[in-house]
Amino acid sequence: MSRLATRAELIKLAHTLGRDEASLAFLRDVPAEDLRRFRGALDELLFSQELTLLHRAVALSHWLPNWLLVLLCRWVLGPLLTARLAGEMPARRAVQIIVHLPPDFVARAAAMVDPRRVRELMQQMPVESVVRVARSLLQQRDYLTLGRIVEFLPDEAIRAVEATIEDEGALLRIAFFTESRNRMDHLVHLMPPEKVRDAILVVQDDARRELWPLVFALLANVSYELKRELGEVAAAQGQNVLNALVHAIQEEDLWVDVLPMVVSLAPDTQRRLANMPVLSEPGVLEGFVRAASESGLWNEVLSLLRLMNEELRIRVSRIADRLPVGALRPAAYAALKGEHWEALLDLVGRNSDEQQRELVELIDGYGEIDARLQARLTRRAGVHGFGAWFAPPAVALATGA
Amino acid sequence: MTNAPEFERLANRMGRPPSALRAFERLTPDQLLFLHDAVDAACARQHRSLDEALSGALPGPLRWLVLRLLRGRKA
Repeated sequence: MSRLATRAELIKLAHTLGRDEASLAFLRDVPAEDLRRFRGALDELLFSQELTLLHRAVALSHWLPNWLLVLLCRWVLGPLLTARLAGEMPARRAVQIIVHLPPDFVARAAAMVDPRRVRELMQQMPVESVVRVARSLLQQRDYLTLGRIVEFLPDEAIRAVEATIEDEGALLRIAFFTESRNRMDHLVHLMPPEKVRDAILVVQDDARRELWPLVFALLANVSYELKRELGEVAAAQGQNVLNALVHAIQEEDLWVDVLPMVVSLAPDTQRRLANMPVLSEPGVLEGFVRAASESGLWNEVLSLLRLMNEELRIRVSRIADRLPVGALRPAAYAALKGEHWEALLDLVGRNSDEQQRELVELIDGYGEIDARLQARLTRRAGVHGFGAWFAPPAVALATGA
Repeated sequence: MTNAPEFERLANRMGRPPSALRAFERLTPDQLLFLHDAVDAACARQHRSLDEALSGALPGPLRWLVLRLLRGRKA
């Protein structure tokens, strides 16, 4: 579960509920997708209020000329009613009115609209009007509204809006609040490559540390291919930058978000990252193992473990040895799925008898289905110094005796 | 399960079957009540904002009549 995705959802939910984000801290463990569904239900409740009135007002508006509706919106109805009417009006008519309203007014209305109800309207808005409204939202630093509407804009409008954004921080913030993870790749590809690179390299700038989690959020939410492409840009930075990155991950507790990205990088890059001296610092590897244990990321941890040097592997083993009974079951399953047995046997081979016995029991369980796997693992466990815990028949089968 | 009444009440308030909000099932009764109240407050605030916007948009003597016509019931 991505902590960053959950954080973005909590900010949006807090905004919709009109509450402080901190007051919703008890929802931190709810997956982002469930929070998004909850917010969707809340939006339906909020935007279904006074629907009869709005539909009748829209029906009445058919009798009025556009110029009069522009004046009514601007001077009588205000941004809230304009936003709600725009959501119920035929898109073409709404566009004819909105283009004559001041950008600041439309920006305030945009913050009150349900983007799903004005999808068609946004597709039909002239690019220059979209850019003016986006500028106004940027001036107000309303990144949340920009993030919510940007995915519904046509490519041409997105490119024009992105071209007006000079600050990478603003881009990262908008991406953070973008609703659809599926559209994220497309949005990133619409950006000029140098802008994407600059946004990723924000991680070099200690003064902009508050943006670092947003870089990870961006990396965590793009496709595997793009993740690898952008992750390589970040990983290509000097050792100081990488050290600072690890500290940021540690401080913000972002291992859950970052580990899947790291294992998508090129093997050489993974090896370099898995052996950074900064990993030896107190607390760093604990966070790494905790992510595996609490969030089911054993596949990622075991992948990196086999690339680590002896000293780091010993440290990880010591930490893993303190895990509660039962913690090895998901690790064994990850080893089975990803063929990470060697890394897991190496890890457990350095640990207590109890943990070795726990793994042997799990392997025996798999042996009931796959005797050859059990034989192979019994042999390898012997190499790692705990083959004696296996029952004699399994040892005999493994050794061919 | 001790929080079942609060959980079902919240799901009912959100207009969703309880199975659609399963991730919220693990919240304590107090947390579920807090969410329920927050949703109620957000709806009330939205209603108030719309009412204020409509009141501001319509002159006093006309307001009652127009709202009655538009809402199709007593304003």
